[in-house]
Amino acid sequence: MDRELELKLVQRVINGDTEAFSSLVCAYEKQVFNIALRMVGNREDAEDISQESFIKAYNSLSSFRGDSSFSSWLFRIVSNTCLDHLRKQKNRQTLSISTENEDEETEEFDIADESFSPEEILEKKLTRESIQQGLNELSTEHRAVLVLRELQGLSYDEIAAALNIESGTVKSRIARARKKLCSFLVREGNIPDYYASNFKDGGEKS
Amino acid sequence: MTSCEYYISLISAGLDNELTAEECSALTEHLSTCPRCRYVHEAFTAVSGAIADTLEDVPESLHENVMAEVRRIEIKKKNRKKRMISTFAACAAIIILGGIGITSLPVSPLATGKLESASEPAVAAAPAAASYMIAEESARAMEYASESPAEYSTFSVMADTADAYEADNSFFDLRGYDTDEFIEKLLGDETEFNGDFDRCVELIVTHDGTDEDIIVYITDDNIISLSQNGNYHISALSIEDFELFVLNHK
Repeated sequence: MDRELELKLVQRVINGDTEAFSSLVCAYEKQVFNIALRMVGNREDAEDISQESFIKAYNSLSSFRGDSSFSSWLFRIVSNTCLDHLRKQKNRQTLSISTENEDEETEEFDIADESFSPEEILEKKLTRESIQQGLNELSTEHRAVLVLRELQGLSYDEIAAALNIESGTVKSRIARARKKLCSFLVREGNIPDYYASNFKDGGEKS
Repeated sequence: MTSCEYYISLISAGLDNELTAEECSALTEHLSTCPRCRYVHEAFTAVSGAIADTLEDVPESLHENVMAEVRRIEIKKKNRKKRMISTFAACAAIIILGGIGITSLPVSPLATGKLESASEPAVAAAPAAASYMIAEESARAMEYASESPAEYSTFSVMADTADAYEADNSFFDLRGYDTDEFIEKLLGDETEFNGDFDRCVELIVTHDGTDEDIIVYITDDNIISLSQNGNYHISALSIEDFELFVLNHK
């Protein structure tokens, strides 16, 4: 949906045309739901969060200034709702879940011979389930930056603004998140483990 | 960091189109000579594509539920306009019946004038619950404000936008509530009220934890102020009165 149409629909909703909101829901529900799903890991919570986010957007539509596109404004609401949800969940589960150790080093793997074909990686099956499991293994912070980038296509600066962190931190967190995700997928056999030691963590600040 | 670690961070940023031209050509050159980094590049690319490519279907109920909720919100708003009177009358009644005492702020004719018409049983039951709720809620608001003043004062902050409404008086800390939430905050569940206003904002005039702290609730055309001074004092006043009050406290 282009920005002009978005703005028209937003204006119609503000002017009292409730059904115009339906078009906005139609246009973005798939992305909204999938962002939530990637962030929280299960369909039930993802649906609740999607609904909550749309209602938040509806109720605060008059504060949407049009500085950004409606979609990125909406996605920001979704990610904040997800982060709230995950924080609450974390508080409830602090006793049963050990938090990810930032300095923890991922396993090292044998270095294979150099005759591998890079295309093999693509031939291996990266299933929806394996990706989701991998994302669930990441810390909330790492998952958030990666999902914001991969599903919402936000730039590093936009992610930095949405999460209130430095742009440089976004860059290092995304690289780190990708390494950890690949490391998990190697362990699970979804990615061949040639040079998997390259996924060994070099530290957030590096 | 080792050379490869540096290039791995470039590989990641490169996938996101966040490289400068220099970084980009340095990376290309490195990849042509380093099979280890080519492997990482390949893996990152595959995983990146897989995250975006495996979108799941949306539950059918989502769209329907969102729109049902939107319609419910609209009906609620309309009903609210139909209900009238008495929140402020009742608040004024609490001052007298509860013996909390009136603040130095002027009480508007609207509030005092409606006093006789306020529902007697409801009002009689109100004071204890009211002062308790107010004490608890004000303490909570104070705590919240001192913890994160910036977040509190940013009206469009995402976490709080659900019930937030635009406020005309944006020079103090504001937070929006919908009517039902507000009535509940003010008086608890035990009291029935007929209130009629579309929005209400909570305004903390000062929040440094001293006796001077005052929380003001502004509704469409009335102000209810609650002053923290050992006891809580309530009064309802007009917008004009409020402006005078604000000027005196600035």
